[in-house]
Amino acid sequence: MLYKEYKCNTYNVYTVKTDKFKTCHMEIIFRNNIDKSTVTKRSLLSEMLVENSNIYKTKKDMNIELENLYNSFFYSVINRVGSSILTSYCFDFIDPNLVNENIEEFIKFPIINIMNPNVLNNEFENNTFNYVKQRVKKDIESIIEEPKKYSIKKLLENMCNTESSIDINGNIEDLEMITPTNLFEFYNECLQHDYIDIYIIGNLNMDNVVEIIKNNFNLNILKNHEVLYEVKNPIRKKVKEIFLDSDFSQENICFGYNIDNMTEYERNYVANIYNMILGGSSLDTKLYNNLRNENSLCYNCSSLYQKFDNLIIIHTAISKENENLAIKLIKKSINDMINNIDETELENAKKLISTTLNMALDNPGKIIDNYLFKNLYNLEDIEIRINKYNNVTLEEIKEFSKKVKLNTVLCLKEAENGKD
Amino acid sequence: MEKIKISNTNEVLYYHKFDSGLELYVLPNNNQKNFYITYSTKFGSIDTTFKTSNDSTYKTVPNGIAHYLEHLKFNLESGSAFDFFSKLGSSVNAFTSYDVTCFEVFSSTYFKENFNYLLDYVRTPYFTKELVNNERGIITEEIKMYKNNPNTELAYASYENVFVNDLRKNLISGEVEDIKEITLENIEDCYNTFYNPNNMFIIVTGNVNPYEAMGIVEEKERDYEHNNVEINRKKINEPIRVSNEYKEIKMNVETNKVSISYKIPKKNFKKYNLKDEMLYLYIEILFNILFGTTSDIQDKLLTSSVIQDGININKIYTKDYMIFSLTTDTDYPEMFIKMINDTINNISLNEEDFKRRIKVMKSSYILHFDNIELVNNNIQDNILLYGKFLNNEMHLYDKLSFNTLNDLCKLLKNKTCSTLVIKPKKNN
Repeated sequence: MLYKEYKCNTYNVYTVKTDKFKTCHMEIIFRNNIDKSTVTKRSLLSEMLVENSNIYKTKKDMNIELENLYNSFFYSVINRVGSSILTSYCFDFIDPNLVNENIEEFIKFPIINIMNPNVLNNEFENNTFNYVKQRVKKDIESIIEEPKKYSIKKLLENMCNTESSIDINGNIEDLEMITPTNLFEFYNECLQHDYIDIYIIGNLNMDNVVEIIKNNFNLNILKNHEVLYEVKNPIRKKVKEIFLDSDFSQENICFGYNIDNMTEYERNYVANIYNMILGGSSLDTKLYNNLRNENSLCYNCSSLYQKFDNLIIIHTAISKENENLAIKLIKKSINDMINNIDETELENAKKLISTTLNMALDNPGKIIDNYLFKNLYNLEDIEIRINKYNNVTLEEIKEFSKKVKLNTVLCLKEAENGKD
Repeated sequence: MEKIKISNTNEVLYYHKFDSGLELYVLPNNNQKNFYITYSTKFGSIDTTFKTSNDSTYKTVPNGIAHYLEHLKFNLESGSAFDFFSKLGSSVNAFTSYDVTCFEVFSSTYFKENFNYLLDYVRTPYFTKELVNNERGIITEEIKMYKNNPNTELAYASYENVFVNDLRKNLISGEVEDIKEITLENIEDCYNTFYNPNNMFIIVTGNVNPYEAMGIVEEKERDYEHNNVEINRKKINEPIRVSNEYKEIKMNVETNKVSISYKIPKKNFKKYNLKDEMLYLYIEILFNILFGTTSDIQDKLLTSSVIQDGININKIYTKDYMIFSLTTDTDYPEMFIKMINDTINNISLNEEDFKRRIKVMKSSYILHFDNIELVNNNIQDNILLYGKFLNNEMHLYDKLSFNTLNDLCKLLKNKTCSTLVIKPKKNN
């Protein structure tokens, strides 16, 4: 794999040349600090720009062209990374050499569509705007259909009054205020104020690729503000307990923990291994063994490490009569991380992390992610990371465990008629 | 090992059938760092009434038993199979569908150790009353979790409405009441019947040497005592009628969810003498042209705001039927249902769409070799649907003809339809 960076005045192109795949993957990434007041617009805009364009006026026209380009895929993904927000416009396409096609038709597709939105008289085309807005509304509202996501959202809302609790889908109140005109204004603001970079991986002549990009992608505004990633979430002295009613036929329990005063080494290495042992790998963890294997309380119980938010979140779904026991066992699992972990668990976690990192090397999108975070956050190369993970000690895990402080417990109660 | 060249690609599949009846398929991709091994038994949720050469009559076991057995299979006298795989850092799991139970390992290191252990733990029975009872609570919570999810409920309830006798009408996991009936005795009976080499197959994809894989299985085959039995699954006759033409259920959803399922008898097309794989390709192309992302109807439904997102097309094939289900979220279920039914009852096709679909299928086929999980799943689908791997898929695409598709459309009239609508509870 040959990695190369091209500085193109106002943006950068990062290329990874490899013959590992028949597929090529390209991402145009807009990046800025997250702002609660514009997050809903960002969500709607990301949908609008892949729905149609001034070149392909309807979704059908755009899809026909994608099929003509050998079933290429054009889609957007939004991620919150701590206090920043990244919108990726992704394009997956066949290696043009395999089908004897001109590479230019492929490379310029995502660029020309993003740079030529379906806009007339400074506003987005109304019909598309209306149905895409309805779709975003449905996406925001349908979180109620997913017990795990919904309970974690409620936990974060109650636990953090910071960027960590911002829902990247947006909210209904802000959505109602968006018009075709102010959305187009926001589109222009993004072009002016977001950092925009392009990543591409495939078996392509990358010098040629960059020339095609330069010929089609013209940005003339230089950005120099700072984009921040880490969110400092305050610690609570007294644990907050929240019980909410729900229509679900299981009780959903979430525990939210702050990580107090984590070092950079802990953030990048120790915390990941801690999470793997606690509940980050699904089938042989403290949580899984305590709740599922030994007490048959649940199908799943997992933990999530939010690196840039300094948070660890635990979730499980159980029958309501098991609430007290489940809460007791989650607390026990956390205590076990201080008093009851051994070298075998540590070694297993290291091997699993190594497998997970190696898995990423077989996926074009994940290879791009590795380079993206290397550029944004000085993430080290996979080989170096595997070595550093292998050097983490039991004492470091135990020391880290003392920094994990319970902040909030949230229970979404099982519906009265929810029991089978 | 037999080397099977996959036509119009540079891929080669290695195949061997052992004396015991066990089949091994290996598709190497040495560009990849990882390998993916699946070990499967042709035992799914629909296999609940059967007899073996040792039985005089059919016996019936509770619904959900294949899935229950899959859960229990990870237990060994020495502990859990997960303990061993955790030491290797491997990712392991299992799943059960209508017609198969599959145990899988994914990793990039310790190929031999992973493979040996997978073969050992799946073929080593260890069941106790205590283990059977302990698993009940876990599976009860799993069933409740699925029932909380409107999208899984939409799929399961749709098949419940489509099928009259076919056991695909039941949840793969069984209902909470079903699994109360599962005992140590019927678990052992199912294991002894279905977990034998003549009913099992192994697929290895990714960074692997096929001859090393072959050697590992060969050695194990020598160690095992084989207790093959002839399995006779009770045939179930499924009528063309659906069990429910229209049903509404209320759930915790914000927008109506609709599923329209068409039950198409394969015998409609008998006079064309098409092999199953060709018939399936034609009907799949037809549904994609009519309702896929480039269809007129999807364009109309979106631009008139009847739907906000796409239409999903799901399919399952049984011995006698092809079931195609179209699902979406909509505020206007009646209008959606009418427009979909109008489209399928007044089919008009153009050749350009047909040719583009073939291009899409060819491209998807070539690209799926990049993904070692996808290619493994595709080999498994082939084995379950056709009893063998099809190495000529690219040739099949070339054989498809627009005229034949038009002719087949005329024979689509003989079909039935079932519609399910999940409505929001709050509008009570």
